[in-house]
Amino acid sequence: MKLRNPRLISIAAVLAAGLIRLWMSTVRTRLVNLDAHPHPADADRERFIYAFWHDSLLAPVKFKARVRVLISKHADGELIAQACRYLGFGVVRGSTTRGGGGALVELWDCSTQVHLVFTPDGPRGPRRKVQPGIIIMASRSGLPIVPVGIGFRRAWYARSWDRLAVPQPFSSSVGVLGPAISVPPEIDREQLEHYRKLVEERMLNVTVQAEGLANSIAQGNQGPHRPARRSARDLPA
Amino acid sequence: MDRQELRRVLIELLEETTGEPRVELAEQDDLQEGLGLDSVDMFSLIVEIQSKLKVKIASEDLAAVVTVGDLLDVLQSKVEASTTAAA
Repeated sequence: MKLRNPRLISIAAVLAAGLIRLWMSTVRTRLVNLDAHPHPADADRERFIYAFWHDSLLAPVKFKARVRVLISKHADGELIAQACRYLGFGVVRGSTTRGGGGALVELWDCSTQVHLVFTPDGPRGPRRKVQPGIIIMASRSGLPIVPVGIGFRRAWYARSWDRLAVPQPFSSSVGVLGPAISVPPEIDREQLEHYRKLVEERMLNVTVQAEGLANSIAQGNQGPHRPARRSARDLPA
Repeated sequence: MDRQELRRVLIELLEETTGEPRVELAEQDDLQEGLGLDSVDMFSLIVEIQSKLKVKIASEDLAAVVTVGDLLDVLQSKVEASTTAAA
């Protein structure tokens, strides 16, 4: 059943945001940063495009930073957009696949003030395949892309195209942030494909590392699978 | 800059964006279904237009843009506004 009544959508959004915040507060999240920069960076000083897979949509809730996210204009979009605002995210409505590019223009305008969060395999997949929108945005905005992989110790997986992961209460998750990738300002179609593949490869790599670390935690093994890292810290619940 | 000049600039930037040569653009050509531009192409095109014409195009300006004529209307009003402001 789709919610159409604006008042009901607002109430549902508040409830959803509260539930997600409460739920995720029970999930202990460890952040492993492979980059020289501390992340999330102070957006007043330097900004990045943080790239998560669509299946890890709940993970950015633990990400305390000034960001804008792109929420598609599909039927449930308003509810999701309002819930995101209650969770503290700035929202741009639109799609990288539908519409006239207005959403990307709006995100580009924001890129001088806030970080951008992209799920580059969204909104409809294929799962874990990077679409070119994020590369064009990085090229035009000058913001480097930070690939973020998320691994869950115990999670349920939806039967949707993205197999959305819902971490079980009181479980653990690990986020691995790879080195930032800068995309040159003027790129042709060949370079676009090169960077698309590069970002996809790096995102898959950090995801494998995050999943390995999450499994290590599950087995009580903190040693051999842990990658060399410059900094790691626990995020507040 | 009149509409004909704007159309020439648009053809030039479309060629750069899509990598395909274009001889003419009709006012009624649909940007997405007729010219095959997706949102990423449109975004690139708008960035190039802003840089070339030195105008600012907001996302709201694009909300009703479907055809080449719609886009030329937006560009014409932006260029005229910027010329008036400079005068």
